[in-house]
Amino acid sequence: MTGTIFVETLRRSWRQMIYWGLGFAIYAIYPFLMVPNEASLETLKDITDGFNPEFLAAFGIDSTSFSSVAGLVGYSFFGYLLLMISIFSVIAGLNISANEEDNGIMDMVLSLPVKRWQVIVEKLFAYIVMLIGILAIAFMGLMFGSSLSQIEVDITTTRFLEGIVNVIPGAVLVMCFTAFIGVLVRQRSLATAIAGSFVVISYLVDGIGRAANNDTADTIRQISIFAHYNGTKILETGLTWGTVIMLSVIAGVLAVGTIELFKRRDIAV
Amino acid sequence: MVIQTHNLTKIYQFGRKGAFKALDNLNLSVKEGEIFGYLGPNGAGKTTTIRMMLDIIRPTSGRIEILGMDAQRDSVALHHHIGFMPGELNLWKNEKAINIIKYFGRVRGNLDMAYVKELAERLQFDMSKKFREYSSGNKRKLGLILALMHRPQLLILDEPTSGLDPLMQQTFNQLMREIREEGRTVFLSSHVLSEVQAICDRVGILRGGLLRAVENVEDLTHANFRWITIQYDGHIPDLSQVAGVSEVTKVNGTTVKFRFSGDFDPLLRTLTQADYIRHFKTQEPTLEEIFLAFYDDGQNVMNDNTKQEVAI
Repeated sequence: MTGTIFVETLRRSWRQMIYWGLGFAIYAIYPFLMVPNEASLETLKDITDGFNPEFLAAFGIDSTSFSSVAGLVGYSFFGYLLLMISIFSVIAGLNISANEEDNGIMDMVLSLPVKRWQVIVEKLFAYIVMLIGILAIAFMGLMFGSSLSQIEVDITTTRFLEGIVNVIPGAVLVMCFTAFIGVLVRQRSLATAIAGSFVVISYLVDGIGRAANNDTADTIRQISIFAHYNGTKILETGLTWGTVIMLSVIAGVLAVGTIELFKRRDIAV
Repeated sequence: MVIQTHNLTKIYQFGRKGAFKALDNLNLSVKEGEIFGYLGPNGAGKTTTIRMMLDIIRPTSGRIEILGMDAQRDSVALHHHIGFMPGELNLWKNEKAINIIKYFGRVRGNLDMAYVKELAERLQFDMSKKFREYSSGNKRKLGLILALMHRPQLLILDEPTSGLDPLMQQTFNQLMREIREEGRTVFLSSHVLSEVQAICDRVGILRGGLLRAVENVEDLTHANFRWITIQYDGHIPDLSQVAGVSEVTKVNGTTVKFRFSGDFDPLLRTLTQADYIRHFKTQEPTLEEIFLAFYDDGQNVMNDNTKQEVAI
């Protein structure tokens, strides 16, 4: 019956969504508590001013990172949010097919009256809903954290929301990439290694590209999803819809590739 | 016919390691309302056939018709009418059996909890535990409930009784007979002859990916023989002249082993002449031995050269 796999996936995983969400909510509160007052923010800025700008750029830090609460939250929360949520995305991507195939459960699932594409699509949507749920809880953490701040928070709710929405395309892309690799290689361990490497290498390419600060490095950097994420500056610049659409389209292509490949091939023993 | 395969072939490709032909031009027919045993040693191609019937893997060539539908093209419609139990049941280890049953029922769209409870009672199965907490025997019981709970027209069972205790095997056999009486069909694979003999109407023998024979179970039983080992003290009469005895081998000074078929009476009468029999053991032949006995070392084997439709 259509929708049953979607509902069942959510039923089994809603607790995980809460735990992940709470983890990110606590992480969202942390930057607001890290700097108790304006003087502390100034001290932080003085410390970072002493470093080489190229070195700081590798970590996504620049002169504005610690000059305001927006800069601080942008760097310490949104700057790492995609990298951290990618852990969830890889786990979710593996759960779409690779885990059940590797465990021998897929034979039972496909003996039911379900289409192969239905298994992938319903699970993918369930995990996207979970991702949004996790980020919604994280958003509540941000709002709660900002209410606790001793420094005036000059960030609107809409900007916070844009920061959260900005993570979704990249996280879904990682999820779809992992699902695609899982369907391609049919082995959970190999799929985990490839997807994990993809995230880490993508992050390093972005960091090194920024630190190198030249045209060639900047061109190479564009292959990284983190280059298009703009987490550290999202609270200042807001959403770039072109980037959102581009990442979403790539994720969509990977999802279609996953479905088509899964429809055509044998299920591993 | 409930199941018909047409020149079904499956070749597994292993990249640079080459290819392996798991099934070769299988032409098999299973009639409505029968219990069909699919017999063969491990690696013969039984599970490969079953997985193709369920569209889990695709044939290299040939096709399968089940209940008049194409097993690949019409798989979704077909799976409403099929109950399946794999050789090794793997499910979500942290899920309770009752939740798995309800999930399967919802996907199929016809959950009859009263019938599920009836099946659980007959199989003495506690549905409240998590999957990882069950023994292998209880996992088999859950597999049976999942396969039977929607009253399918066709049951496909891969090695269904392995792990079941003798009492549960009786319950299983009874369930299968009831399904047959209702006019439904059972296709079960096994590598244990006695298991198949107990309930099946017909048997297909598979070896090395080739369907070697399809026989009525009675015919196969008549070709049956067993190995007998006798340990004795003192004198043992000459057994080579007894009807049904062949291949007599003296293992050591006090033990004799031979092949025996037919009625026991002449053998037992001869053995009363022995001084003292310390130990008497009978052993079922292997499937391979039965096969060789029945088919004169394969001379009557159905192979792809004959391309004969195996339907009786």
